[in-house]
Amino acid sequence: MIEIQKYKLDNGLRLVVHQDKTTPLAAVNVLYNVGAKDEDESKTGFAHLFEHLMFGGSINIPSYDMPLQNAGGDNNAWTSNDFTNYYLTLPASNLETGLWLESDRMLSLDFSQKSLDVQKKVVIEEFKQRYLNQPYGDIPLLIRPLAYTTHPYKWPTIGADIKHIEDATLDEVKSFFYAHYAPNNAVLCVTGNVEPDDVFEKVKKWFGSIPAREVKKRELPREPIQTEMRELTVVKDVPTDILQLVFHMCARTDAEFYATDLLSDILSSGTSARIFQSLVKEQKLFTDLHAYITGDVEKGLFTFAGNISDNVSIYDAEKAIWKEIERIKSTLVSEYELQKVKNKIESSMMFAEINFLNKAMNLAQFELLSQAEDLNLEVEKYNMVTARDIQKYAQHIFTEQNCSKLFYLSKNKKQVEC
Amino acid sequence: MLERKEVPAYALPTGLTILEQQELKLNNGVSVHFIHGGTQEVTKLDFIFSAGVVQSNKPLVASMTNTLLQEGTEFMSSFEVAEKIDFFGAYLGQATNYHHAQLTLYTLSRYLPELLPIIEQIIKKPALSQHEFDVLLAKKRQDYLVDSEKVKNLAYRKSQEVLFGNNHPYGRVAKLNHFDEISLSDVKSFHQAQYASNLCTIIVSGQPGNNFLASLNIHFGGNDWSNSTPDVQDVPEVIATSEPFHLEEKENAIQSAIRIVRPCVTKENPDYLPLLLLNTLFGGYFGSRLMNNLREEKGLTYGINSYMVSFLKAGIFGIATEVMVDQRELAVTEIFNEMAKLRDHDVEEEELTRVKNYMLGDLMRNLDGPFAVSDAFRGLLGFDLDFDYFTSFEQTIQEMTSSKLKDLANKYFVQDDFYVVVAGK
Repeated sequence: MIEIQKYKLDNGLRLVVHQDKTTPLAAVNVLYNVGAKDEDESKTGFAHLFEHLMFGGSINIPSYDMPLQNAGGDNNAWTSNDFTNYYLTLPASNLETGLWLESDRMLSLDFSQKSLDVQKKVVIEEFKQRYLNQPYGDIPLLIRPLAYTTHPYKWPTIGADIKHIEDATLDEVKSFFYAHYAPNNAVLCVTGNVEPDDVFEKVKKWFGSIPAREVKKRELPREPIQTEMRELTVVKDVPTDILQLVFHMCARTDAEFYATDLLSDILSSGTSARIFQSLVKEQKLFTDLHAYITGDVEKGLFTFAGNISDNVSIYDAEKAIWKEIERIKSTLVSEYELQKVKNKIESSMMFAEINFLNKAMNLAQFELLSQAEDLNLEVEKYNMVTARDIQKYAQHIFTEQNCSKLFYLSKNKKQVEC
Repeated sequence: MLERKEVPAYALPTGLTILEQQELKLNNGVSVHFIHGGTQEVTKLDFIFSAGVVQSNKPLVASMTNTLLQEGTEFMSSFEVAEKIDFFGAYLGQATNYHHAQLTLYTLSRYLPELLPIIEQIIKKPALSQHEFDVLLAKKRQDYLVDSEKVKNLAYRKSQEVLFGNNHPYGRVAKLNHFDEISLSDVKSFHQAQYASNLCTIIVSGQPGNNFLASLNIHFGGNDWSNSTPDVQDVPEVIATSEPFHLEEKENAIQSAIRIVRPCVTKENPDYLPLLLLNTLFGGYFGSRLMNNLREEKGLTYGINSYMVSFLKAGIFGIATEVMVDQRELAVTEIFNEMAKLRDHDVEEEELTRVKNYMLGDLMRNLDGPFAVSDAFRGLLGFDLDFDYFTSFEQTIQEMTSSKLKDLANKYFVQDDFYVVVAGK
């Protein structure tokens, strides 16, 4: 149970505070309600590029990092298709330094051409390092446009094309900022060795005068319901074949989310899980195989991803996955198996409550999606799921017409006849 | 009116507060280091054995043995072990390094009585079956092949070879043929020789409850699992290469991975802690000289860092980055230029203070909570060091001066002492 205090500023900024006296530190987490899905299709990768620019100096403070390091702090940020999240930790006595820095860049950035030019290069190197210069690194670039024809989830956060990043202009950067970065489009969460009322006063002091902004209304195109199986085969210079099967699933805030998550756990959480035991350990068709969900805010993807064993045909391996799918669609999971995955959820939630920064990130996300208090209801929601719910949902999503397949083949592997 | 241009007043807390620790012993003499703390009723248990690469005479044996332990026992199948651990919501991890191998259990404390008997079987009576061996080896082989496609791994492997030579455990990197040369009997004899009570240390952290020592004694306190293997951590002489530049070519590489490395001191050397400060300033944090030059000014890379590693018998000072292939020479030149600047010029007080304050904050982060302290303790294992190490570290940071830094740079940042390893083009 995480105890919290909440406040809302007149400009719309929501503040969540959680006191944890066991640490001498504090965390400041600012979650902006903007992600890659808010990008224009011809300017993808922008939300993430923008995240880099947020460290290039703000309107009153030329360097973000230096004053934070002076105060013993450390920081980082991440961008997803749904959110952009900035976080820092520092000795709790220096909390105000963190609030000062975060409030100034929420107020306005410095918008320097030099910073933009350099960060474009840095992001292009990141693109190469993570997606182009790694074996299988381009899978997200292949699978997303296969599974989504219309919805902006069809491109990854790094962007669909390096060229989009190269072409970004300072004017676009500015309008992106004013359209999305605003107190009324963010959640601030402070955790650690802090006094909630004191945090509120300091937050009011530093964030209170930032004007509310007219946030660009989100009108995402709807993904049409998939009506037939899609398939993509690529052949590359990689050591082994990889198979991915993806299915459209519900959104994070849908009631079915909990059953879907447990469905993926039954199949794949821990080494005792079904597909690992049956397809990796017993039949040796894969050397590694996972089933997982994206947990996206909008309707997401349920993925099977596996490395095919040498001397095994990828098509035989695929058939074996469908057999496991048939099994879970036709037979109820046992009470013991269901209890096992529920116990794992409870345990991992408990472990997640150890770290004050972790708590700050989770609370901010729950506050943005619904309310921070709901984080404490998660275990109960998972516990309500029945074997029948899981079966029903498996029957609903695991159909051929809801499936996209990626065969990522090794150029050098001797392809086995099927 | 708010003074937004002025930094709000800040101060760094002085005097590290580290969680209380106890040195305990099981009835058979096994050391149990206990770190008590945290708000949640959870426990982390580390079982650490002198069962690393140094103690094995063949590549892959140490890590294969360690990983294979949890794949079934004489009384339970691999599936039964996994299912029990999963059912109680616990997590069992393992790691192998040069001098040690460990098993780590994370669990809700209330399930310790159910889980300890399984851990006992895993450690004392693992099945080590041919089937599980084959499955694991096939997976490790594929992982190895995939890793071999990544330039950063190629550069790392080569750098270890260059520094220590093929006959030294630190330099003996795995090759593809090693996967054909290892057999189940290697694993069995390694387990028999190295997984014994006389080679074991236990670290307990969290809130394990009042009876944990009694429970540990029931399962691990007897004399049924000792042997006569001495705890040997010696390593042969280092035979480093004399060639200063090494290129591992990889066709179609879009970026080249660079490793610039030199032999360096271990944690027991008085220069080690001061060097950590020089390392941080040079390339050890986001505001470092290398990050500023190569990323923030020139945009050559997504990231660059310098690092210090201390194994028990030798250390490494290194720099690692990935850059676009046609800029690789510029990157190397700039890295050495940054070294020269630190040799030739005093660090400004402002920058020095920033590094000190950042490091003091980082020290707090690294010792925050029972699990972090447990990891910190593990890092000292095998060295002639105790937790005073961290108090000296704090003091070293506070007392560092720019002239001491310059002396260190002149002693350790000598270009001829470094090897340059490039993977890619």
